[in-house]
Amino acid sequence: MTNRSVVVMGLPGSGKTTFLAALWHLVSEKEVPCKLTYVSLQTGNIEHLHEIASQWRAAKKQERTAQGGDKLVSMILKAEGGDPQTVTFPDVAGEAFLQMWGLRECDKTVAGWLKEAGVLLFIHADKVTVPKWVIDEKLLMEDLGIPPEAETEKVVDWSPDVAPTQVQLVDLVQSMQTEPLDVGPRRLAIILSAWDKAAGRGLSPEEYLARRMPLLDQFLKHGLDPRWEKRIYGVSAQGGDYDDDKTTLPDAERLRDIDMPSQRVSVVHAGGASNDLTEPLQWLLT
Amino acid sequence: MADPEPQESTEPPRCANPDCQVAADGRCIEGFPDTAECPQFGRIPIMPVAAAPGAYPAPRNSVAMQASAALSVDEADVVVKDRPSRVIAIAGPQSAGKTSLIAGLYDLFQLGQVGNVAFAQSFSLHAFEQAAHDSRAASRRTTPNTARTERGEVRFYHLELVDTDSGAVPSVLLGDRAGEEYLETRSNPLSAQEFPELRRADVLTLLVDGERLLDAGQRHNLRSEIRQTLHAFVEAGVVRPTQRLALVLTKLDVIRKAADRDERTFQGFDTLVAGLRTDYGANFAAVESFQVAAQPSTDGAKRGENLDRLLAYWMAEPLRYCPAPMVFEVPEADRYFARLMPVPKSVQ
Repeated sequence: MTNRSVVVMGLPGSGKTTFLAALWHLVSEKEVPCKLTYVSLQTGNIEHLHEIASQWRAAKKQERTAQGGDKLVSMILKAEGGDPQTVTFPDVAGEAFLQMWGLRECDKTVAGWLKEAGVLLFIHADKVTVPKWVIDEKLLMEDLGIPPEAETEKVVDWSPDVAPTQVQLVDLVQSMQTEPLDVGPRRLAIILSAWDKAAGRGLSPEEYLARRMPLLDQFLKHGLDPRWEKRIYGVSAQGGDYDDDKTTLPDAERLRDIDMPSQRVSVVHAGGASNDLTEPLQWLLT
Repeated sequence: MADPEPQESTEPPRCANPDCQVAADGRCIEGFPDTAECPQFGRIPIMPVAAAPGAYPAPRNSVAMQASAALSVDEADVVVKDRPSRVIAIAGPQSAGKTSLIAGLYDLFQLGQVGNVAFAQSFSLHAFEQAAHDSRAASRRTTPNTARTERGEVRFYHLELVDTDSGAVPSVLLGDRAGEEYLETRSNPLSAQEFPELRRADVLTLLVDGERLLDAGQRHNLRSEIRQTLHAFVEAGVVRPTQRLALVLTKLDVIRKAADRDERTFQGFDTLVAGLRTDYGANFAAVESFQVAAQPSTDGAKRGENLDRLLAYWMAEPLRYCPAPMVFEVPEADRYFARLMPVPKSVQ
C-alpha cells in the first residue's frame, strides 16, 4: 500500500470543506460509480468527516473551518485494478492562505502540507472579486445624472485583502513554485466550485476562468513552472444553495428531495460531466 | 550595478536553527565539534515571524514567504543577472504620471494581454496593488488618485512578461523614483550619477505631463525642465549609445477634453520631441515618442490607451545584448615587441 497526500488550497469560503463532505459521502455510500473507491478510514478524524457529511446530506451550510482548527483527514482509497492508497487531505482554514498573501508568512505545519505533489486549488466561481475602477463608477454616475459625492473619510486605505481574487491566487500558486515551498514538478487541479452558478453562462471551466480571471489565466499559461501539469474542473458539490442556521431555502428543499444525495454532485471536465468527485483526485494520484 | 569583486565573506556564520548561537560563541547547538559538518550550518535561518498587530492572528511558528514589494537595486541586480531583462528608467518631474504609468500598465494585465504581450508572473504584486489602489473602486474614492513616490532610493516594480510572437520571456524592471530628485539634476548634473537606474536602463522613458503642457502658464517651464533634465543626464555621462529614449506625453484624456487647446498642446509636444531628437538623438540608439492615458481621470481616452505601443518599445531586445564588433588599433610604441599583434584567424 502506498501513502499519497493531496494538499487542499483555497481562500476562505472557496468550497474546500463542502468538497470533502461530499467526497466522503460519495466514497462511503457508493451510490454512484467512482474512479476511486473507499477501502477504510486511516485513523482519527472520522468525527470531522461524519460531521461535515451530515451537514451536507441535510443540505445545511458548513461551519467555516477555524484557523488553528485545521483537520488532517486520511482515507484509504483504491482505483480499479490498483493498489490501495492512503490519501491524506489537510482541511486548512482559508485564512492560512490569506496570511500567506497578506503577511508573507505561513504556519510551519501548513507549510509542510503544502509540499505535496498533488494540489487541489479551490476557487468559488460565483464569488470572484474583480478589479473595478473609480473612473468607471464616476462616469456611470454622471450618465445616470447622479451628482458627484465629495471625497469623505470613507476612503479605504490599501491592505492586501482588498486585492482582486485573481491577484491573490496568482501569488498563492507562485509561492508554491518558489522557495521555501518549491518542491519541483506538481499536478495542479483547479476546482471552480459552485459550478452550477456559473454553468448557465454556457462556458467551459477553462473559458470561464479566462473570461473572469484573465490575469490568473495568463499566469497559468505562461508563468506556471513548465514541469507542472494542470487541469481545470467545474465542480458543483452542493448542487444549490443550502440552509443556514436561520433560513430554510427552496433550493435546499429541492436537494433534500433527491433520493440519492450523490446525484447533487456534478463534475465537468474536458467536455464531459459526471457525479464522480474522485476524478480530479484520481488524476492527482496517478 | 556592476559585478562585485570576488572577496572573502565577512558575514558571521549562520545556522538554519534559530536557537543556535554559532554566530556568537562559535559552538554548534547540535554538538558537532566541526561546525561545517552540521547539516544546519551555513543555511538560511528559518525564523519564526512575529505577530503583526491589528492584522490576522499570526501563528507563533511561521515560515517567511518571499516578499512581494518593489525591488531594491541589489534585488533588481539579482534578477538582471539571473534572467533576460529589460530595465526601464521612468523619469520626469513630480506629478508627471510615473506611478500612474506603472499602475496603469499593471491594471491592463488584469483585463488580459496587452497587445502581443502576456503576463507570466511578478515578484512585486503587493507594490503594484498598492500603486493601483487609489484609482480602484475598492478605495471608495470618488475621484481617481495616485500616491506620490517618496524621496529615497529607486525601487523597481517587477513583471515577467511573454512576447507571444517571439516567445521571449523577459523580466521587465520599472524604476520608480521621486520626480523632485530627477528635477534637481538640472542644478547638479553629477547627482544623476547616483541614480543607478539611469546608467543601467535599456530604455530611458521621459514623461511630459500633458496637463501642465495644456496650461499656458506652465508649458514653457515644463518644456525647459524636460530639456534641462535630459541635458543633465547627458552631461553626467549616464546616457549610453545602447539605450533607447522614449518621450511620453501623459494624461492624453485631459488634453482631448480641453477642446480649445488640444491642437496647440500636441504641436507643442511635437516641437519638443523634434528639438530633443535634434540635440540629443545622437546619444541614443533610437528616439520614439508616445501619447498615453495610463489611468484616465475623464472619458477622453480609453484605460491604458497606447500603452501597448510603449510596452512593445520597452520589450524590444536590449542593445546591450548585441555586442559591437571589436576594433583593433595598432599600438604606437617605440619598441617593435610592443607593436606585436595577434595573427588574424584567416591567415592562421
